Amino acid sequence: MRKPVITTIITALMMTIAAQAQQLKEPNLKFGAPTEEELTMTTYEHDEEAAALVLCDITDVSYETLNGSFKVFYNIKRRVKVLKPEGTKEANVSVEYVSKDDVSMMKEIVTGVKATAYNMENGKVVKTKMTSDMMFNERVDNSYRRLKFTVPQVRQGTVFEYQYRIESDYYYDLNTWYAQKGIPVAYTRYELVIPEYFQFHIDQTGAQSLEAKTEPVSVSLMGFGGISQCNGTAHKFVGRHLPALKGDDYVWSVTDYCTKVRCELNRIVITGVYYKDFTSSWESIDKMLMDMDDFGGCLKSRNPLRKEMGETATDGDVKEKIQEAVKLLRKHVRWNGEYSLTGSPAGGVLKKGTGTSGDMNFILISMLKDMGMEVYPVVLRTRDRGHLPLSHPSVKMLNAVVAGVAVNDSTVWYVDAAVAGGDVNTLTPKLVVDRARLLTANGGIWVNLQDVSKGMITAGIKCSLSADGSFSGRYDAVMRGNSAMSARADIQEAKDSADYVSSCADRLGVTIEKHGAVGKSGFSSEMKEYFVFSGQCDVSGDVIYVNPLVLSPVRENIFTAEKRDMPVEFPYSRSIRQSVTLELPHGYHVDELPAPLNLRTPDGGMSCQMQMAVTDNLVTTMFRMTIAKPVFTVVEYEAMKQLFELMAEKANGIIAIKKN
Amino acid sequence: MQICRYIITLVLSVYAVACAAAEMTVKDMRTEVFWRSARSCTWKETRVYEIHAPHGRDWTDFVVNCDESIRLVSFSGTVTDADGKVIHKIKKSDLQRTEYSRELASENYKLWWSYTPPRYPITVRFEWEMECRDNIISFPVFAPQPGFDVAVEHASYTLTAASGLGVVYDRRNMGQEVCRTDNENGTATYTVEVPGLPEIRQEPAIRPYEDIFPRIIFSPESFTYYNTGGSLDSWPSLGYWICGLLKGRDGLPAELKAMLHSRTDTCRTEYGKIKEVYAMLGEQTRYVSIQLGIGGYRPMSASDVWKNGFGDCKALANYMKAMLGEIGIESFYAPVSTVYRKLAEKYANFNQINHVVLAVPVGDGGNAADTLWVECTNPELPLGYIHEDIAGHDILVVSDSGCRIQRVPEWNGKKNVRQNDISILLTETGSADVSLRSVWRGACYEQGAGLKKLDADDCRKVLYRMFMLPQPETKSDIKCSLIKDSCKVVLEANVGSRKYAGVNGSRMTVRITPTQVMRRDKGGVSERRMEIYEPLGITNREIVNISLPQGYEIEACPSDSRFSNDFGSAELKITGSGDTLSVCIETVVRKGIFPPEKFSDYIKLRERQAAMYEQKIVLKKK
Repeated sequence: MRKPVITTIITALMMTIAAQAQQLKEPNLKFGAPTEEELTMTTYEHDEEAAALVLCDITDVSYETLNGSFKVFYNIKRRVKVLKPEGTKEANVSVEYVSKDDVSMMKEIVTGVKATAYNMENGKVVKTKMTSDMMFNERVDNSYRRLKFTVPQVRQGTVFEYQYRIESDYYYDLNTWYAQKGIPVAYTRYELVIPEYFQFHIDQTGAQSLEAKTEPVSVSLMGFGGISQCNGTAHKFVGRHLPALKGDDYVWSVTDYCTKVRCELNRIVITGVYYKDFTSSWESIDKMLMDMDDFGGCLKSRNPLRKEMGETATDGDVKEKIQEAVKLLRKHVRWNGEYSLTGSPAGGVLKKGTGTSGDMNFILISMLKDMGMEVYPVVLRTRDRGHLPLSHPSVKMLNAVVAGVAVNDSTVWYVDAAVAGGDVNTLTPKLVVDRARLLTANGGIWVNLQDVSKGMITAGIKCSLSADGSFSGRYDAVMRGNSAMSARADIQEAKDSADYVSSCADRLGVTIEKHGAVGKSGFSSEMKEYFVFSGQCDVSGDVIYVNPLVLSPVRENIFTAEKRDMPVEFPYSRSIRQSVTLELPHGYHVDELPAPLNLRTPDGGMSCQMQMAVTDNLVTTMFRMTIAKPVFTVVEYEAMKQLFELMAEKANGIIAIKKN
Repeated sequence: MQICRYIITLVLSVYAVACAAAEMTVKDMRTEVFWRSARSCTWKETRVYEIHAPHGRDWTDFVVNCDESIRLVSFSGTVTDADGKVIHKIKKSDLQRTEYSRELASENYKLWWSYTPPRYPITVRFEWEMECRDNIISFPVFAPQPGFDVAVEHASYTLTAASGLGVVYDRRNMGQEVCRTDNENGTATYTVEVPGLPEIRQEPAIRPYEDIFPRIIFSPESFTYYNTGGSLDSWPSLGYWICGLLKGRDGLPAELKAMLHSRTDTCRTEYGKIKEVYAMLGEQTRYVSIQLGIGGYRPMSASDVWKNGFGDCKALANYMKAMLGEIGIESFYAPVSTVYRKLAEKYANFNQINHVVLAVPVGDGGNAADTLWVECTNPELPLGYIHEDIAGHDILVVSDSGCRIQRVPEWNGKKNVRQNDISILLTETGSADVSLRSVWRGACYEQGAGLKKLDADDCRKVLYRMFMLPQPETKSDIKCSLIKDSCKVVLEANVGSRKYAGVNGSRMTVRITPTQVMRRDKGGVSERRMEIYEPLGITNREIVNISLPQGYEIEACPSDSRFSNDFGSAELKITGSGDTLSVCIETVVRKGIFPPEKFSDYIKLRERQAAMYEQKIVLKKK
């Protein structure tokens, strides 16, 4: 029977209102008194799979004064519901805080730790408090300690609460507040009361929306011999029903996509007493860096390898000169695996024989300058640390430096002397950022390293097919840029050459009889690789089924998730070209050729072409795949995934070869 | 130690070959132990490692474990280059300290130093002295070969014990004898020297580390530990000491006693009662590790576990024991090693105990097969499920009336089955509706149970790694059930694949099963040196029904095949005609230790098994 339209509309309307009412339902903000609903709930309607749920998370930040100095206090209260047995791990809490091992007066302390579990037993609420013997403290390293505690009597169904207070001397450096956690959050509130003396730039980022409110307040400051009053501002952020946030293999830093509030101090103004401007612009940071001994000072250093460079170093084209300089530097200094923005005195680095990326790149800059090149430091934040914030510049956001060589008025080449296997304009993926700052004498400019550091593989395969379905052939490839760097890393990581060849053969599903590579180490633009292979196709009666690419460059679609909440960040842009010539056995012909493939995403960020042709007893196939940009947004995911799927299908398809 | 699995493996289990190809030679390794009194021991260590290439870089790192009783007295180090020139010196103050631990609480801390050599080869030399005051329960282990791909030129160990102090030791995987010399001053010196050892190459499917690498575990014959004393002259003696630690730890509050009786008094069988108590354990407790002082060996009392709702393996096993005791069921606290399958034959030691389970006799008693081996830290395991970290291991069963070593039974390979029942409804566009039912039984239970812990997104990701379903659309919730009574895990899902089959003009290529199999890594080994080790017998069964689209006929279909050798078998059968095909693949992996010359057979079986899963049928438009 057909439902009357009006009934359907009313029902839908009522459902919407009910849903909104549910959405706007105020949470229980009273700690120490979980509601019956919280105690009896078994699933969370917004995430029915959740093992645990943050019911209420409140962070209040306020200022006080003590011994003539400001302190910032973080009061954290959290109520959590355990929905599944695996959610009990949320009851093991760890709070990391600054506690320097040296005599530094600046520190943080954690006080007021309390935790309580609430369980429904026989219709009654049973309350279990954590005792102090369940709290432990450990020194993580010279700068940090960790308070660990566990809430007792936590099991499936438990609601538990805990609270603590961090008293921090770092009043000028407020901790970033993250609204999202590894489990969903039903309600979260961040309230920050800032006395008029401090002017912060407050920046909210992330995909989830927060209710934000700012209002003037009167602030009471304890200390200075009593209570003093001043004006201030209260900033309040509220988030409701925020999904759990988990990283995956296709984002460099999940915190980039976490909804959060970050505060950056602009200035301190205590009228008539104290004034300090912390306002930063990238221009002022450029200047600050240039004034620093371990940055600007390093740029003034003489080339410490002048003697070793000799006269030959001044010959050859610019690229060759840079390559030779890097090779020479690496003979004297090995990278210790650390990225750094600054450098140590070159003499000490050379004596030690190892150094950070900063140590090495400052020496490289001095070497290249000594060769008469125009070279600039290029500062950046490595991708694993997250993007450089668009607003409120801060030097603490930077953690690496590379060299920028101006080859003419419009072209700069980028070089990193530290990470092995690269080349000019071929940086390790961690350094391939979209916003790096090139510092010249006239100021800094933004540069996009993703435009230059790319990979390319050009491969040719010649293969003969026999009537019994066996095939043999030779693969020749030239890898350039990041593709060469990646291949070199694979070779270096393998236990030995046999191990490397074996893993290649397993990956491609063939037997490799002979293998060779040129340019597999060092600092150069390309690596060449070849191998002789053999394998077996499926045969049925008079028909042989063969993959026209023989060695498919795309084995499967790696994107299987139906949707994504975060972008896909590839290591770098790249392209693969593969041409295949397949010789058919005598007396056989191609029964049917697949249709050509020509796909591209709407913006051309990814594309794939595959074409085949038959001439006499030769089948030639041309395959080309291009990932023209390293980042695909959430909106672009579906198109990218579909292209990958069709490409994987085609690249692993078959053609039927039939006996005449 | 918590036994908890997050393993998601594919149909043929996959092992990883560690890629840390260390290129290092132990030029000299010396340990000199001076056991001066029951409460004082010092030892001097010297390590001289020649590191040939960057793969061996990790051997430049230095780390020592310390705690309340053990401290580092002195330390120095040098790094020399190929010309013998000292390029770096390290002193004690250069060491970093961390108390970081995965446990909730531990009194251990580490002192460490890390270094990147500027060039290779280099030689690192570390010399340090340690001191142990009180609580001397073990001495440094002599492990002359510290890892794979490491050759040894010289290693020696001496232990000098003051008069009246007895030393016991367990020697394994090495021919050199320990020589005892009685000195004039009444001390005794135990010496062992290893002149040279060839490298042990890292190869795939290799026996466990403990079965291959030479080592001697030295221990005091008798010991004092936090004002308790015991003997290591035998495992029963150690058991007796452990038994003493349990004394008075089993008291239960009246409320819990009442609860136990109300839940178990009506159970008709003893097994039923044990099962009910095990369920209570799972409902009331969780695993949390606290290792402080004597708490490293003495469990938290049962009443504290009840009060807190958590405990470590010792505490939870003791708690379970106390609960069973309350309802009249005898059980035994059973320390075990999750690393060593075989305990030292003659003497006991503390190095081979890192976990505790509970032994509950359910038959005539005394027989391992008639005992429920209860893992108390992971309630998701069925009662008495023998997980891989203890299966086949020696275990010390502790009892007031006498302690004994037993062996935990292993799974019968025939019971370890992973079966996929798959139905594929294929359309003429290549899309398919696929219904999947995967069942893990026996030892495979642990592999499947990890799925239950995953959230929906992660479970879906794993599903799409297990099954190749291009352009997938999940059509129903993925359901994972742990059926503890029959010890199986069942995963059910209905998935659409928009491109299950590849369409090429008039032809369609269809995989006979969507199940993905990872091929075993051959590890680049051209000449196999070590025995081949297969720890677990497993049967994988694949039953696939494919409904073919209308308008297509089968052009090519894999023929039935069977392959078998010492390592197992693989069989493929395809039946049916017209609209439906039934595919059955059964692969069997046999447990065992096989001679190295059979390695090509081992690889051959793996390849044949994998190849069967990758077969395709070709359909052609009529």
